[in-house]
Amino acid sequence: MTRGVMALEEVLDRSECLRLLARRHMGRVVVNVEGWVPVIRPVNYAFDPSSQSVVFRTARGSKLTALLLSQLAAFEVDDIDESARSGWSVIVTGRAEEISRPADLDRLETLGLEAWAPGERPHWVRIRTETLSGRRIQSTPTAEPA
Amino acid sequence: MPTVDLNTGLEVIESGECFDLLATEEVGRLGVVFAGRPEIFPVNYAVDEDSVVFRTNAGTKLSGSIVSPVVFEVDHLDRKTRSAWSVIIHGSAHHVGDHAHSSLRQRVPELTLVPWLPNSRPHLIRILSTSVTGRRITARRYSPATTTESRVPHGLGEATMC
Repeated sequence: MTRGVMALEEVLDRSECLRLLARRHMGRVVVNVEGWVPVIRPVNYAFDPSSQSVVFRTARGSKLTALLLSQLAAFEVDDIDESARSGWSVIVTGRAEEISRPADLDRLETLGLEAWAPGERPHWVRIRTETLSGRRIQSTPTAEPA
Repeated sequence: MPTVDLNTGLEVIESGECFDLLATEEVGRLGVVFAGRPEIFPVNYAVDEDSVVFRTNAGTKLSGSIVSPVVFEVDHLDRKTRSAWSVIIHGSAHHVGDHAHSSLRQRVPELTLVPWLPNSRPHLIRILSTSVTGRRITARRYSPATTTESRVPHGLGEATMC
């Protein structure tokens, strides 16, 4: 007998979105570019609980840094089990800003953001969780066909 | 001999391998701009020849006939080996109507494109690419003697996996 799958979708509240943001370390940032294609990049990030922000590092003089600081950004992180057809995603939209206060920078250095790629990335960028949305899909096998 | 992106120090993935890698994953992220605001959606996708297809609901921002431009990103991380790759497609998203692209519609059942939620996402969207680029991070270190060089831009750049 063919087994079916029952899938449930749940909208996540802000506190759950924040909890999930803090559990992951890689997300994708999208920035709009007027009159051109949007820019999307995967980034290693950390969640800064005290400012409720997503923070990551960028290279000096990079195009991404300039874009981030002049445009709105959207940020997505997820944890998806394709074989179980289940997972969650959280999306942050907000204005990105460079972090320059020494006290903030000292705190961020303790967040354990790892560098995988080569090169210096002296800029810390923050996207505050001004707009936050999340959802979770949970699939469960059933005895009946779908 | 691997090609290295001189801007980032990352290995360049050739377009043929990009599509091979796209076929190994099922969830990607679509980036679009609506009313000046960037938006990003995770989508369950399949590769059909040289395009990416996915489904969406009626009434969503993507159910219009064409949304352009769009970006689509798929990545994979292996924390054990500290290696990762990312493929980014630039292009336009087209609604595949009931009568259009009939050959694609006939192929859809053969694609691994089953919506995760029941009774939903009747609209089939196809991304026609204008460029496909890929980058890879490995634990290897490259030297000029063993690499060629590239400055072709990629969505995967300076901030990547930093």
